[in-house]
Amino acid sequence: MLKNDYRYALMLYREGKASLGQVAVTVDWEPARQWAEFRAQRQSPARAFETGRVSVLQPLWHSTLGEPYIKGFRLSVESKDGPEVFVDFNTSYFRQLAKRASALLVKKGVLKKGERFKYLLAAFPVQKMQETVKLKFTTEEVAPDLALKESSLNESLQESSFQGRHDDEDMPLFVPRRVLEEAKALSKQAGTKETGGILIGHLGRDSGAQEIFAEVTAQIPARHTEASLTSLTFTSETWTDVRAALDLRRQGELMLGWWHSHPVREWCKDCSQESQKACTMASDFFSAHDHALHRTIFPRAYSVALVVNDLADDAATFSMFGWRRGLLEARGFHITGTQEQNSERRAPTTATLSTSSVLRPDGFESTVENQTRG
Amino acid sequence: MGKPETMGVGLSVLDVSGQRKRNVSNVPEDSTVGELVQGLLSQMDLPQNDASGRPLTYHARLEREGRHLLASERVGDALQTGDQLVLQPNIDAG
Repeated sequence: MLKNDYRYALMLYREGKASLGQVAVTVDWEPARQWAEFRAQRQSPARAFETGRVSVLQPLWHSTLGEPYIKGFRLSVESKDGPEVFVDFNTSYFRQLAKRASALLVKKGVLKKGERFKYLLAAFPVQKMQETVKLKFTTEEVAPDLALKESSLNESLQESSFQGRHDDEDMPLFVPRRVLEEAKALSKQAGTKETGGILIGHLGRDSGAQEIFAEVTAQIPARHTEASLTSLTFTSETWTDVRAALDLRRQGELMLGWWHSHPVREWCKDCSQESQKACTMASDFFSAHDHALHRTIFPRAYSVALVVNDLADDAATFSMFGWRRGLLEARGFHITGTQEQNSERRAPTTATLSTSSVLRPDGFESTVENQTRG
Repeated sequence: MGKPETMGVGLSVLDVSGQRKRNVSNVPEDSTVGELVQGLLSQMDLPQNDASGRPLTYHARLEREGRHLLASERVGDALQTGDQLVLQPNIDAG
């Protein structure tokens, strides 16, 4: 449950500080809540996953502008048998909302496409009457069936190679080379269409290291999908099929995430393989639709998404994405299995969005260009 | 003497991943599956729109019968106490 006594508004400004307007925003707090609750779990991995935790959201007032302007927000997670854990988030969390708001201003002709703008966030107390919505039925959260497998993190680290950008906040993630090869082969077979699947595996716990980590064990190809050169629709039948496959395996695995291909060789077929590899579409590109799917199906803080960048000939690169402080970011992962080098693979290093976020001395938190890729 | 209150139907509802589960009680028998699903989305923090802002379509799969329920079906006709529903959206990647 999330306790939030504030509503939030976004103020947009031109670089010269002229106001572009203010909009009330509906913020999706769920990724932040998931991140904070998983952080609490990682700090005490011996405990079972709890339900009914109360997370309290509070604005962090701007140090120079003061209330109602905020520099971020704090999510405190209460626990039945452990200390309260809190995580602070900065205003980058609102970047997507700012981009959406700017797109509306572009439509109205107030802002030019590509023009840079700044944004500030403000928080206002909510009237109690607005909070309660009467439901015709009652619901109660049930603890997820998330058994943590006890195993040695150190051993897994020694038997793997790391790919991508390391971030201390990321939960360690292990992916067998075989799974990557299967995903690549399926991507090649799909020809001019996108394809995908579900990554399944276990959450591991190393009592010695006091850490939780994820181990992918297999991928289940997504069937009953509708695919084109630029899209892949997972249908209700896809999920039924995946759930049936999981049941048949009887390994107690859970859906850790998903993968899908980007047929870059078709998107950029007039370019050389070298150009394709250097193309922004072939490295850490995660579209707005990809983001929305991940948020809808895989909001848990440990959920990940793999993108197979299918290049010309036999080449492919892999990009991994996961939640970090409630935002979807490119992340690194450990490859397990045979150690033979795969020369096609290279580290994803670029950010997921072509935006910049800087702390400015004039009180403005962020600057964003109102263009996105994809 | 007033009309006796009916208790409604009690269910368990899961998301696609099975990692989000809710026990639901007192679902009015005269409500529709569509109303039930709509009410559950906010309770389960499930997004109601896709990246383009279009409403997402969630299907309610009844595990006991292995079928998708129609939004127009009446809860009292389609569901029994103890049933398990899975909310499964059609959703695009790009």
